[in-house]
Amino acid sequence: MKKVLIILGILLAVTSTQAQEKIKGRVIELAQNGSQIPIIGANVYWEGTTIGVVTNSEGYYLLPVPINYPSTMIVSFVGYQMYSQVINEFGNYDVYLKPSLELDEVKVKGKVNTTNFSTINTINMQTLSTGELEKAACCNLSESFSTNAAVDVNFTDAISGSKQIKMLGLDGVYAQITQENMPLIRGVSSSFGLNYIPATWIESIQVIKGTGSVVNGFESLAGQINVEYFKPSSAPKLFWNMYSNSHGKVENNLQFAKKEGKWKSNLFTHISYFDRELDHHGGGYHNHATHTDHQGDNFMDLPKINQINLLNRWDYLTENHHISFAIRALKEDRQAGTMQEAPISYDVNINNDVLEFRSKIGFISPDIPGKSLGFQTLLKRHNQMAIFGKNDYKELQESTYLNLIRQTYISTTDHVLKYGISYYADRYTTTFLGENINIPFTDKVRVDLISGIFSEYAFKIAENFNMLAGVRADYYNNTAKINYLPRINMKYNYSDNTAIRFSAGRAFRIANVISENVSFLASNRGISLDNLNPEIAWNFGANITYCFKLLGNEATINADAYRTIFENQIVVDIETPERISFYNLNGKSIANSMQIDLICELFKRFDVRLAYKTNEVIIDFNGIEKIAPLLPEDHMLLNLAYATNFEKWKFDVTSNYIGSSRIPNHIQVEEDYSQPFIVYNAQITKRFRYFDAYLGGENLLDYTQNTPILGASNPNSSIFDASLIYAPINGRMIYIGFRYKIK
Amino acid sequence: MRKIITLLFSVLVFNAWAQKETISILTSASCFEGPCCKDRIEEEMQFTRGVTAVDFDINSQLLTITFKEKKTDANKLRQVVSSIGYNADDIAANKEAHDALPLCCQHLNFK
Repeated sequence: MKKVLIILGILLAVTSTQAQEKIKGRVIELAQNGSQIPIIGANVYWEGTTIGVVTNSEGYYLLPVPINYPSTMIVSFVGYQMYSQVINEFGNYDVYLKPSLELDEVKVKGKVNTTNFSTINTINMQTLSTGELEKAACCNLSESFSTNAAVDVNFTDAISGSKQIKMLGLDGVYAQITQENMPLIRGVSSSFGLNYIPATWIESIQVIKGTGSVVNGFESLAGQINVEYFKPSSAPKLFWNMYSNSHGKVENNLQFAKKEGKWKSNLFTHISYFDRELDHHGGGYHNHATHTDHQGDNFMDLPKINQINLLNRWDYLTENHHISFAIRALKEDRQAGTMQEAPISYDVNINNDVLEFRSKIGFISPDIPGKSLGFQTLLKRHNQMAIFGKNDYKELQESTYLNLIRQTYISTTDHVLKYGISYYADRYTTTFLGENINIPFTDKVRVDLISGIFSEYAFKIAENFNMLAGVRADYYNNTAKINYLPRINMKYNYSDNTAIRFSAGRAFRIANVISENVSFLASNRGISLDNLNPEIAWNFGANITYCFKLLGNEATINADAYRTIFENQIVVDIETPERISFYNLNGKSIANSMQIDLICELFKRFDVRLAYKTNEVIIDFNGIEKIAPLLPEDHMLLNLAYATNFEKWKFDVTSNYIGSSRIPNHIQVEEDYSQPFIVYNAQITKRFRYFDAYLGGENLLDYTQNTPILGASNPNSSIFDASLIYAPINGRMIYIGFRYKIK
Repeated sequence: MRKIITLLFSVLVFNAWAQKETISILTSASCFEGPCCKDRIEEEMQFTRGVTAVDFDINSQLLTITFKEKKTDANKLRQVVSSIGYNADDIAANKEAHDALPLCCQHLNFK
């Protein structure tokens, strides 16, 4: 009998060890709108033991069972309150961590602003959520900032329809634009790349001012813009969006998510189509008030566009590794230039083909808390062809990017160390023919190889003082030089609701002047190219975030000031009429930018956002100090958003005041400075059970630049110029669309 | 503008007049893998006639609903929860609806 009992006992023990499951779950921060943000790298361990794990990139953890029940499970992470729970049996335990600076009276409930300033992050970062992107439902990443003052958006020329951004008073190329922290826009994609990310693919955007972290690269001279796409877990199973506007443009977004199984996946598809010849703008004959005389300038207002864009991502998650990869393919043809009946024709053809593969592999050792290894790869081929009248330009970019990041903790989680290596290999094959360039060339090849090492140390000195110090060293083959890029970010919480930040850092980038300035091809300026060196700059910034109560509701004030000082810059000189030259900076180039934002909920579900920004950018153009051209001196933004209960109706009005810009000399322009102007956008969204419908308008006051194309009557003359753009070039536009979701 | 204010004001006043009641329903919705069941329940409730406020607490699995007495009642609301696929107090979940839920939103049996 005894034996039987023992055998039974052993059997039971064996079965119970076999059946022994782990403690699993997810560590999440519950945002105030109820959405759940996974906390990555949080420590989950048994109290009084060394048994512990770290949450993976989606916040999940899998903890070995304790030696005996009941045991206390501790969950901790920098910036959050520690959480403990007594566990009596195995199972699923989801843990909600609260930020350690959260005010006691703030209930984790209700709504959160669609644009957020954090008092927790060491870096000055603003997060734009899906809600913010839906406020202006048109169309792609370049327009996603129309309700945000940190990033300015404008057309770059009156022909190609391309939009570009400016940040801290500097061109978009000085901001490092990444997708899920891997390069998105570099090299050839600089001029059109923003137009290739449909807004419906985007889950959130992070805007970081200053050089930021060293981990993601060397190029963030002014800041970083990171785009996060929808993940299989957060995306609806099916999403269908159609959009059409009063010009006649049609866009279709169809998106699928595979949420079950080991391999989870998203498929994003986008088609846009526009095939009309409109000629409202420009010319001395056009009358804005009556619209009776549509003589125009014989140039199409908007290019004809045919775009097909696909993204497919796959995620595989287990307890100690995370694999994800994505493939993106794009084909776009643009046709623009003169109308068919124009007496002198000027043809514009722009073709882009992009093929991209990227992958991320993360290893997390479940037994050692806080240690992980990540490996990112990106392969990209981008072929761009742009013919603007006499300018015939072709460029092929083939790129490889590798980044290996190791994360570890020193003694406690208050000291996080990251280090790694990165490698960029880019081959550019460029052809530039035509009468405008000083020395035409065919299939000129440039190979850029940049190998780098980096290390970053994040630590908490006191409960209210955080520091992020890092350094990169990047070797660039063409200059055979190592660039050292130290960067430091500090945050001090003066009180629970005030954060003060300082940052300083150095960054460098390699300019690819023609592809970055395709808009200037829309002119007959004579082009001269020098031997160009990498661009290097220091960036310094200070920022204060203050949260307070206004009429019983939460409000935030964020103020910041940044200065970028270039050691070398590729000066784009359009100061001499009929010429454009690119040369290394000789003298000084300083960009100052100051911004203040006020975000508040004035009363229930009525949000107000007010922002003011002023820029002062001074560049030495061949020894003559001037203010940067075509850059608004100041920018004011007012966004009013009201939603009814359950957000069944949403109303948004945005007005942007754009200050005056300096206009470079041109024989047909009399003024030195443009007139300030105001642009109004508005949108109404109705939410139904399974779908949303929206109706909106852009540029409601119909303000446009009078003659966007200079010398339009003779596109062959040397004074022809469609690139001096400082105001909207298209008038009022009404759009309508819907979003259909199956969760 | 004045019309809009008047309209808004009258809507507010009407809302204040309507008799409201708040109840808490214990559900079987246990969200262990992301926000799907919280969103699912709250969204369904928001589009249910008479409901003016919804809050689902993931930890306690309690669904708190405020509704207009004239338009609906507690039992009807429990039926809605059941039709989503979760138990609501003493009303059992609709089996078909439950089985149709994504895996992560279905009941997890721990033992």
